[in-house]
Amino acid sequence: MSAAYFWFFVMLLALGMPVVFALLVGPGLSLILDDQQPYFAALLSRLYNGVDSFPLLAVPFFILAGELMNSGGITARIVRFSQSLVGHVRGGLAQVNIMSSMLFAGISGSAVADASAIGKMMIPAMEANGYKRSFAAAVTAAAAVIGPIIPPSGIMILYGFVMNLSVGALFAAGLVPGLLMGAGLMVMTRLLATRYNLPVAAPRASWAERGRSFRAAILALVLPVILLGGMLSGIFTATEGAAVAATYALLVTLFVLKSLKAGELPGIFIATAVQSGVILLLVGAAVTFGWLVTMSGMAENMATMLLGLTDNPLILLLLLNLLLFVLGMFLDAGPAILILGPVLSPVFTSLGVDPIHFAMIMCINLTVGLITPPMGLVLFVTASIANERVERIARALLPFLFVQVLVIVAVTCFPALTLTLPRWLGLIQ
Amino acid sequence: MRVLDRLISLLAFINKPVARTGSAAAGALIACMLTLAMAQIVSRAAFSHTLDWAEELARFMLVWAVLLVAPFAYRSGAKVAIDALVQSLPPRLLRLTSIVLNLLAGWICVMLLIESFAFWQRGLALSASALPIRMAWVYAIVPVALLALLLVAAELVLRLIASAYRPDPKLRLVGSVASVDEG
Repeated sequence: MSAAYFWFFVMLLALGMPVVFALLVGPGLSLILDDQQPYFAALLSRLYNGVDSFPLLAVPFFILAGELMNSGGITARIVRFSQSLVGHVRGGLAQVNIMSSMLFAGISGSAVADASAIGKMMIPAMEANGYKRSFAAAVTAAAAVIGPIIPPSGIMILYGFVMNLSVGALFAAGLVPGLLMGAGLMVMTRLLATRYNLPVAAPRASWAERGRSFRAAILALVLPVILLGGMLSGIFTATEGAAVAATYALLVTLFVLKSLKAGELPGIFIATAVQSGVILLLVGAAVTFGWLVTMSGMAENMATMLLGLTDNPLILLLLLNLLLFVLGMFLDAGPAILILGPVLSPVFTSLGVDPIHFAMIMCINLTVGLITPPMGLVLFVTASIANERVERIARALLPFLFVQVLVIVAVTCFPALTLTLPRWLGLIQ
Repeated sequence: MRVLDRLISLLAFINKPVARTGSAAAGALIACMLTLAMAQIVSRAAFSHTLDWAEELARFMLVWAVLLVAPFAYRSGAKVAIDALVQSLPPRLLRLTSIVLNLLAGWICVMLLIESFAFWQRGLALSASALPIRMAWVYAIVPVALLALLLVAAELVLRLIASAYRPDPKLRLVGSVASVDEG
């Protein structure tokens, strides 16, 4: 199969076609060009299978939880509490956004779920507080990337499964880079806050005020504790945890706070269905597209080319990062790992790179790829939640992307960042 | 012109309720999925009994919900696109681009629609793993959704063409993404 589908895709995207159609029409045109019409059947079944997956249920559930928390005034309570704590800092709500995402990362294993849950809460709040919408969305997208790096992590489960590595070791290896990335984003926000004169949410609150806002927000603040406890004790899975979050939000807003009327529910469920439908169609189309990338051998060709350049492991790893970064612009993290992991990992392991270290480079780099245009799922999700142009968010993302590239380079050059914790826990030698 | 107007109102007459019913049904399915997931947790925690069928049913409902909402999302313009490059195009060229893109979207719907019948037929021979039903029941939504999407594409293309001759108060064009605003 020729690589024509790829250029069709880029062209249609540039003409402003909705991404979900471009992902299907590009390959479709290429099938006609190559006279391979029988593959349309495969295109359809890949699209179907891309959506037909139980873990994806987490997407509508987390969106629903976000909708309920917004409509029921829980978001407002969380924001008031956060404001009482760090609102007097310049850029306080941006810091709250990043910290919430790091806390959420300990609950969800997906950047998309992170972006939709935190974004639903924080983007409207930040906008109301005087932030530019594009900046609020950029902070949300950048912070959501931490989701699959701090455990639990969907893509690490996938990688461990495909490459036969210990998922526990991968989880442990991701913790330090995830915290590092969160801290880096917070420092960058602090710098931007001074430079762009970001809003201060409120004057410094007294401890009595903080206590009051804490009590008002406690029903929302215990939710992560419930989720973490339930998942760690094995009462429910990560996907079911999303359902627990939505049900909890439903019960609290309907019966405890009484801030939501039953009559408002149909509208909320429909809005949830529309938003998750748009996202999940995109996931299905991206899976289909990823399958074509494998079939056409495009990724493997690029890898062969890369290895023809030098045999110094560090230079190769940095080149690999470049390749992954470029591929991450066009591929979803999951398909990219399925395609590239088995091809690249053995090559690098034979050059003396630790497989866990290599896995982290791939997972972190491709996760960051979720916020780089033109094909960045998390970027699209935040754009759809914020109702803001993708390119404006992408521009506002640049300083945060700089931090993330620094983390990727640090993780690549210093294996100790990833390998120390799993070694210390006795998960690897 | 009169034929064109007739066609547009006929398509709108079909598409509007289909889009609205589809998204309402998808909302109801989300509520069912939530109930199933909670039933699963409670059944396992309280009665140590796993409801195999609940997980499968929730998955099928997810597929249905996503496909049911697709025509509404397409018609109301709730989709993600990058319009930085086409923004500066003159309005007439933008309309032409939109016509071509929607024709292409309609074309891929036709191609997939043709395949979807064979896909559905394969489902006649397949049983679901936990539920006592044939997969054809689940797959049936695929041709239905593709047909609905095709009709939306047709409406958008015709509206775009007609809007070259007279203003269409319901037609929105953001970048090259066209949508119908029902207020």
